[in-house]
Amino acid sequence: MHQTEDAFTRSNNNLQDAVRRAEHLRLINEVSCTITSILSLDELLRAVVTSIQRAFGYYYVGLSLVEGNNLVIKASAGKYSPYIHPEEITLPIGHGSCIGHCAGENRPILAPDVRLDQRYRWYKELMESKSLIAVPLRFKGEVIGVLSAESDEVAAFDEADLLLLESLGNHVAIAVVNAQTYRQAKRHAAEVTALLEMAQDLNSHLELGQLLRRLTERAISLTRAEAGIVFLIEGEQLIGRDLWASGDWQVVDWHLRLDDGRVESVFESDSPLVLSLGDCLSMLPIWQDAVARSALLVSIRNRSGSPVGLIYLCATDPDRPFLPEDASLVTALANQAAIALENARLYALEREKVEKLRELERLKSNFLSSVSHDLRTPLTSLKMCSEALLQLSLGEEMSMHRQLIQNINRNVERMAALVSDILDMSSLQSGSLRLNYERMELNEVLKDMQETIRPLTEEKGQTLRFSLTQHPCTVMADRRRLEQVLMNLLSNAHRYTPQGGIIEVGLTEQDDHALISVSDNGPGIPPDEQERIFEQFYRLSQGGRERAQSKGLGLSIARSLVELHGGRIWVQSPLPSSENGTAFLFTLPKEVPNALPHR
Amino acid sequence: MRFLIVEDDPDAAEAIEISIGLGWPEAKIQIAETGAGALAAMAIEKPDLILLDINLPDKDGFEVCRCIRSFSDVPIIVISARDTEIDKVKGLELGGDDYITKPFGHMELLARIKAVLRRVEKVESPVEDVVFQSDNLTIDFNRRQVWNNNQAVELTPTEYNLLYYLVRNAGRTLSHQALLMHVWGEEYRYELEYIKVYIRRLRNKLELDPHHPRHIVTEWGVGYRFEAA
Repeated sequence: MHQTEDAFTRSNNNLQDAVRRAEHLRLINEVSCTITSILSLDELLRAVVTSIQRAFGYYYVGLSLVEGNNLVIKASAGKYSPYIHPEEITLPIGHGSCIGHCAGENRPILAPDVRLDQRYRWYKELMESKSLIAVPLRFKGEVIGVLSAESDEVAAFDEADLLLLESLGNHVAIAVVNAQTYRQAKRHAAEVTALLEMAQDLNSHLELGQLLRRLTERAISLTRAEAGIVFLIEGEQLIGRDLWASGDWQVVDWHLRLDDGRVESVFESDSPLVLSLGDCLSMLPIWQDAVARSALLVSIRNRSGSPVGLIYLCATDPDRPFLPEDASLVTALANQAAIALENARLYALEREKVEKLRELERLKSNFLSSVSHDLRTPLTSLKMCSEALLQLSLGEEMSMHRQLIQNINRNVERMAALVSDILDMSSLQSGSLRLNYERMELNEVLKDMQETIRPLTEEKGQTLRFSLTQHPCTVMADRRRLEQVLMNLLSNAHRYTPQGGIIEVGLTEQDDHALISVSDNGPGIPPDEQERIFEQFYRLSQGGRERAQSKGLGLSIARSLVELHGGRIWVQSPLPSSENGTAFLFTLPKEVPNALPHR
Repeated sequence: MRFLIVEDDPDAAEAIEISIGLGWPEAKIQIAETGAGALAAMAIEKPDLILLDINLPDKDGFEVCRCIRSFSDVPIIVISARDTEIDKVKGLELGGDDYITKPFGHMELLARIKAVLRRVEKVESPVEDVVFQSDNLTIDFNRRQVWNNNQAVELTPTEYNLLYYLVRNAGRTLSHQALLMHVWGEEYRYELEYIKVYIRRLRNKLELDPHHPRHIVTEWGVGYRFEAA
């Protein structure tokens, strides 16, 4: 009977075990199904603890992951509160807590009565805890975390529960690694995109100061640092000028020696350096608004690998020191920055050259302008005296005198014209020359010019032909400046056309502009010099046109004046169906470009 | 005729003196080398015309011009090596009757002096409608007097001549050239700065709101027109 009872009891126990195992298997399956479908790490961790807690009715379930040398409690669930710990708690591995021991020893822990267990770490939220089991989460043999459960009863767990938790732990470990891999892949993809975007952004800043600020901002936003500065190597030291700290830019002038131990170690090892409290403070002499807890130093290297600068970031939050990911992100940024810095340096060099050339140009222009101004007074005396002399030497016997005085007069006129041209050029270059627009009829303007130039052409036996339009051709222009352009072109034509040559002036009307041409049958202008003749002081290198008294300013002024009117000037040479001859053509808009009525 | 030449360059002053001497052999010519000298000479001699260089060693010629204008209507020809529109307008606005840019010649100088004297001496005589009345403006052509809102307005001879020509052609747009040739003379036909400065002066003296003129109207790019109310 007793045997039968025993057998029955055994059989009953076996049945209960089988039922319990079946129930455990069902629950493991349920938890596995839940967690394997989640890819978000945070969501997964929460789901693991809540589903285990719900399925097994434990007093407390906690999940911590290895981060560096510590365990960080990432998620927890309990009977009274879904999440006991509002913030992540960091525990050392190997000591200080049961789960620390579990991770450190890489084996499960069963504590039937935590009140008697020295390893147990008490939390005020878990004062009812009586017993604990903890299993390491392993991936490829490495501990990646700990899964633990606690009960408010003494000796609530046995070996079977430990096996159950281990089995659950294996599933959880795989799910966590999957989620971490997914997160890393996603983060990596985001990083690649961000870095590409940053490279584009950095390369769009050619001004060095702007680029350095942008680089600092980018490094800070990548790492959530509170302060940052970028140093560049200048001579024997590193110099940083713009510091971002306390939410604003501060202009500083920080110098770091290249032989400073920390700088040397970053430059020599080519790997980022993370510094802690004491180190950073000594390097941050001015940033006193907050206490820097950790600093990150990353070198910037040029294409040949030599260091050119240093990104220096500081964090104040003691719980959020710089991590290896921060260092690798900033290193990637530094690699991008090196190219942009190189561009900015080249740009600055070029700009400096251009500035120097501009300055030289300005000095030249100022010098010419001031000399020309100074020449005007003595020229006035010369001109007045020679003209007065001319008036006084009217008698026949004075013909030799008159000839000499006329020669003086002509040359005074030439000097006066040169002075006037130089001053015009100077005011055209400085943009101070303003046009006095008025409406005018071009046929009339050209007829007036014909009368002015005729005595000169007749003297040289040249034929002067004007082909004008049948209808009035009206434009808005500055009459005096237009006549100056025409006079320049006509006197060139007169000067370069041989005795008995032909000079033709044409006017045609086109949609919104008039086209004026001045052509001659003198020697042509070589094609390779046709654009250069409009440059200041340019004179033709060979051919018939160089011998005359040209100063190389007339065409340059003519072009500037035509362009100031909104027109275009160009040259054709030789003339079509001819071996020589030159035509200058220019357009004049009928209306003032962007006309603004004014009084 | 009495001339005062204000020029610090002795050679230029001498050349101007000779040139004027050839044009007006009886002229009494005085030379001042500084702005202070010019003002002192103004007090002692009563010149009929001043040639005033802008670049003086002691003070800006523009300042001297403004100072002389505060107590005298004597015609002033500003002489300057600066030829920008801004300088010209400044010279004219501060009371210069003419602005001549260096280098100039003997003939040009004589022509300019004659033109200025002609303008000062010539005052348009009425043809008809001896008193003209329009809105706030009354002009008595016979007495050559102008009132704005019953307040007598002082006009220089050139201002008066310009107003006279505009009013005689009321309702018609007169081109810049027509105005310049008629009021200043043939050689001034392209001196647009002159007309701009004098139109502004007339508006300031005659219009109720010079920035929104009702009488002297701009025909942009063409010229000006007098509109009777």
